[in-house]
Amino acid sequence: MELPPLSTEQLSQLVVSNAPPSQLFEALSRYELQACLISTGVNSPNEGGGNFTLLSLFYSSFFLVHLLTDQVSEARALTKRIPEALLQQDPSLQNCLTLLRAVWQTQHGQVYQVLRGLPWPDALEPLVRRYESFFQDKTLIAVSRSYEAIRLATAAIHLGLDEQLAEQEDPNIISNFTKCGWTWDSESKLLHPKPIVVSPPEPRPSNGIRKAMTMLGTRAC
Amino acid sequence: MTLLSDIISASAHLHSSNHLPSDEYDRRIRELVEYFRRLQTTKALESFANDESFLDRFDPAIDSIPYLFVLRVQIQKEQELNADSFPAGIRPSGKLWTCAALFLASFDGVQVRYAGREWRLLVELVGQASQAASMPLLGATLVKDAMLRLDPSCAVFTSNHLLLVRLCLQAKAYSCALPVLKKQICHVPISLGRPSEHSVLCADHGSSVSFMTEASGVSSKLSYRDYLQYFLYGGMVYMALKEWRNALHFLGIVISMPSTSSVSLIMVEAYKKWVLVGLLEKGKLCPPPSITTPHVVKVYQSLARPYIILARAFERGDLKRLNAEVDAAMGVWSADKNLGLIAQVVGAFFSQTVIKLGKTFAALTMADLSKQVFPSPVCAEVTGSAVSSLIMSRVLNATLVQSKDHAESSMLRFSSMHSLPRLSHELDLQSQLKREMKLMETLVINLRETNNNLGLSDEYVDSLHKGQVWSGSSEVNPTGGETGLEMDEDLMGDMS
Amino acid sequence: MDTLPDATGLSRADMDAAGLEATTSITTPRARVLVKVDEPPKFDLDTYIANYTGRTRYDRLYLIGTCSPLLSTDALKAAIAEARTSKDVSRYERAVRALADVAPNDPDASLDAAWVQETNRYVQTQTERLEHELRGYKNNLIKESIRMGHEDLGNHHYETGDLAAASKAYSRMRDYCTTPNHITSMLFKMVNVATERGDWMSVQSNVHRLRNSQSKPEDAAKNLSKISAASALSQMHQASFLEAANSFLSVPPDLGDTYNEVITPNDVAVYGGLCALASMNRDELQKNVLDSQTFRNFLELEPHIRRAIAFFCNFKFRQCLDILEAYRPDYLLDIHLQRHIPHLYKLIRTKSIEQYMIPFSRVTLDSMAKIFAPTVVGGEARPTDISSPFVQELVGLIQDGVLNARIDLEKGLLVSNQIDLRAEVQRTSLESLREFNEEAHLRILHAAVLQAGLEVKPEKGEGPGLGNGGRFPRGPGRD
Repeated sequence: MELPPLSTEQLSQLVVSNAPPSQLFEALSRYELQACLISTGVNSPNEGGGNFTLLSLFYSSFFLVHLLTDQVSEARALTKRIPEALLQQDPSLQNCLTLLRAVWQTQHGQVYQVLRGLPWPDALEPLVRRYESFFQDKTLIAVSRSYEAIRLATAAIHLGLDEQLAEQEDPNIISNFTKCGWTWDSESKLLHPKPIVVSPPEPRPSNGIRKAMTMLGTRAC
Repeated sequence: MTLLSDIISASAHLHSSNHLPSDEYDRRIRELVEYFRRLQTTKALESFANDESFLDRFDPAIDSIPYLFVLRVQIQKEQELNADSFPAGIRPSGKLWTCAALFLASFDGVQVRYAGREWRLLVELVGQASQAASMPLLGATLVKDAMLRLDPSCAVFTSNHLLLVRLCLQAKAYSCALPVLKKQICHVPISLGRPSEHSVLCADHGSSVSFMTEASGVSSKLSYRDYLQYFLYGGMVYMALKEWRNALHFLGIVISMPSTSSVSLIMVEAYKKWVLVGLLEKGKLCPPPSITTPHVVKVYQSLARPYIILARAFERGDLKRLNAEVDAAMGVWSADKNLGLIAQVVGAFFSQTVIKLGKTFAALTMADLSKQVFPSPVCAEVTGSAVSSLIMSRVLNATLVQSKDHAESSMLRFSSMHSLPRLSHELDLQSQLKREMKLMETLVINLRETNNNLGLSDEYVDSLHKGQVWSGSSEVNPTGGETGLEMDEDLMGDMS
Repeated sequence: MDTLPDATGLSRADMDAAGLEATTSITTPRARVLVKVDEPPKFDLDTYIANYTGRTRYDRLYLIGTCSPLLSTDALKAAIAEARTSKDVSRYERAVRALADVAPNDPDASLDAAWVQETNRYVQTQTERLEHELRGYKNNLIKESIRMGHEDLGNHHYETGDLAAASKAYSRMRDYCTTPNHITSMLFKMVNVATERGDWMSVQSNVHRLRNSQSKPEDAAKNLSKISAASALSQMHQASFLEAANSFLSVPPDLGDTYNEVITPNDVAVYGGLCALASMNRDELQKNVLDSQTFRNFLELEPHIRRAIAFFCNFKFRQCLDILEAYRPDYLLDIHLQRHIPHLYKLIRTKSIEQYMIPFSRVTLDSMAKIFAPTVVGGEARPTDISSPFVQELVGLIQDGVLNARIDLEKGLLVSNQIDLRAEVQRTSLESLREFNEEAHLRILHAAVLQAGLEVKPEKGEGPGLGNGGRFPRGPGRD
């Protein structure tokens, strides 16, 4: 099961694919070794700008996939493994650091701002969008369990919805919540969340690597 | 007949015996390994030392033994030629490195049991070469996969365990160590006093302790230091991942290490971290595990005084006092490389205080909470968002009730029952229970194995009789002066 | 933990309680720090002091004179008069100084130098004479004379206020006592000196000897009441309130006026009643105090104590506390109670709150505050606000584990903790399973380490036989 070499095309394919995050994670974990080799320049003496873009794309994707699999501490460790020069110079990796800080400190508003407001390379766009909706879902669940009553504006901030519209009690915003079974009390101007139940996560399948490899194999050849 | 065809036929001979009864298969592998060891001593294998095509002829997954032996010869040749332990060919992405990587990722676990020493030397070489090339991540991944391949239960402690955590810490690839760390180590290689007993190496063993013996060579000679370092470093991996409970368990293994008379400084170092991690996980000063020898506990208490004083201030819920103790012993924390943990302890103080508040109050407003927790007034917004993220991250079991008026402070209700439907909560518990049950089953299997071995070994009885003479120890530099093995300081998490 | 209440500082709840209830200002009740009692006590000074005999009269007058501004002049003048009838110059001087502070123009406020000089001279010659006589007796080796010589000297020192010397002289009598009566009389003298010196350990040990002395049954019965009273007093002073209560309850009613140099039957009623209130629950109070045949006699002397206890037993805590509050000035002017009143009252108050909560699963904070913090209810602050002293007092009680309840500031309730059994069982079973696994793993590893001979051993070349020389370097300790 030889791993197809790490390339921008290979990466883009992975990023666009709708594979489950755990599989993406396995696949990219495998590629980190190659990235590691590339970054030390052992592999290609002709150190060019192409590698820089490739590595930037790789590490940014890998970082986002960490977040997508809810491994914040390990995402932080990853940022320490990225070659310092690359980390400092690359704008999308800098975005990742800002995002990490916001996630780490649970600054919900900030997270959406980074995801939406900062310029991300097109190649990363699918992962950024995926994480945005992942984060939104996760937060929605957390809010539903944490609040018994919540102002529309507060809920909107947590969920990254338009705060201004929320202040005006925009029906679209309200319906975002009522469709989850929450109730809107127009008298008290408060939302009453209904706790969202999630079944406990299945233990990660042990054959994750194999699945990831087959996925890579079919796509690569 | 050339040597090459000889090897090919010998190896093929083994393939065909795949379906033989295990004692026959056992005999054949032994013969094959013997054959190669002979070739090695007679330097006959040297003829392949430069034959690049040789390894391509063999599939490491099937012909593991020939592949391993020839690969080793080639590596030695390369080292001799370049007068360098880690010449380019062995370093990552070199030709021999690639072969070694291929081998370690695909070797036949049963065959290699018979060449444990050669396998281990290759594993160590790969690890060291990756360190030499400053790419410990590559080594870590290979070592981890190789270990799991040879012994999927990873229940026997080996020198490779230590190599792995060391590489992972250096690479800052903490979760890379997890697949091995999560397997409970239950044995240390021993010389089995029953060599000719019914089972053979290749048989399907209930526990890996039967083939991971001292004689097998899969581990280098172990000292108590290797053992202590592994669990300390393992604990540090868990700390970096903020899995405090697991970290505590690993540190507990270190600090409760049996000792005849002296205490290792590694144990003292672990105890210091134990105190801090205990505060992070349980919010209190945890006593050492009950099986810790009393004289060892006394040593901890005198050598880790600042830590114990700090923990008492934390327990008392006195923020001012805590800060004062942190400042007072800055030099100690920094010399012990515990600044990162200390910063997190200070950060955890708030959450622990709020959690404790739930024992006194059933409900109170955020403003009330502020008054109760902070000696001096704090911006309401800061408290509000801090508490709300404690709840959302499920550190705090409580719910918030906002009111219509923006200016009015939210109500914090501690664990009102209706907040979470019972079912979901119970499902959660159930899956955790299942996990623990499974763990217990593994432990029971291993316990049975331990009992078997103990019944037959004299060492254990001997050790029970050893005098408890209390004499000095003169151990310096517990971690052998290794640098770079520390978790990085965590300063992002603190709120202010 | 609270064996020495006066040695520990006031806790937060302590101060809250004091701030709430104390209309008198109380500083740390130490002997040296003066307590000021501004309210008038209910007793009449003359009748009060007439109950006592001996040196305690002066001590009590002096305490009242220095602590109660209202009574200071009267009490101190009485104290001066008391001192002048004795031969104790230092007492006289102290009382005059105190009077000069409050009433400088009073004729008694200046020292009678002639009396002082004369008395001093008398005391000195008397001491010399008695010591000379004693030496003579010793030379003659007549036991009884030596005993009496020591006793005379002891009495003399006692009367002139040299308590240490008195105690020494009395204790020398021991070797010359020939009858049980001698022994009991000596021991009682020692108890009295120790009581005045506040040496409660010594009181305790002498009481112990008294109990074991082999006096005749009729004498023993006669002494029993005094022995119990002295014992109870020392236990109270050592803050063992439950033991003290039981001892007071066991004082036979024939105590009467026999021990007026230390304690009166009224004192037994008050001290015993307060100690019991502070340390017993409602059932015990009913059974051991109110229904006690013997103690009833004492309680009849102080009916308000009886009423307070009865109120407590009937859940009428406000009335109970009100009575105690009304008598606080009296008790603060009592030589034995003064330093224990804050602690005793705090215990009684805490116990009231605790007992009040027992039958309820939830109580409104308002209704509690009406009973336990009426001044606050009537006053400015909202009684159920988190910063109100009453709520903070409850917080302290919950944190100390006295109350098994939680405060709901949303609904203004105190809610007793009800455990959700099902969840609790699930939680604990998971937790114990985890702990079991961790422990089992530790033990398996222990066995494995021992089996492999991997335990920590001294370094090679430094065998275990080298003795205990090399120890661990001391850590950078900072105390």
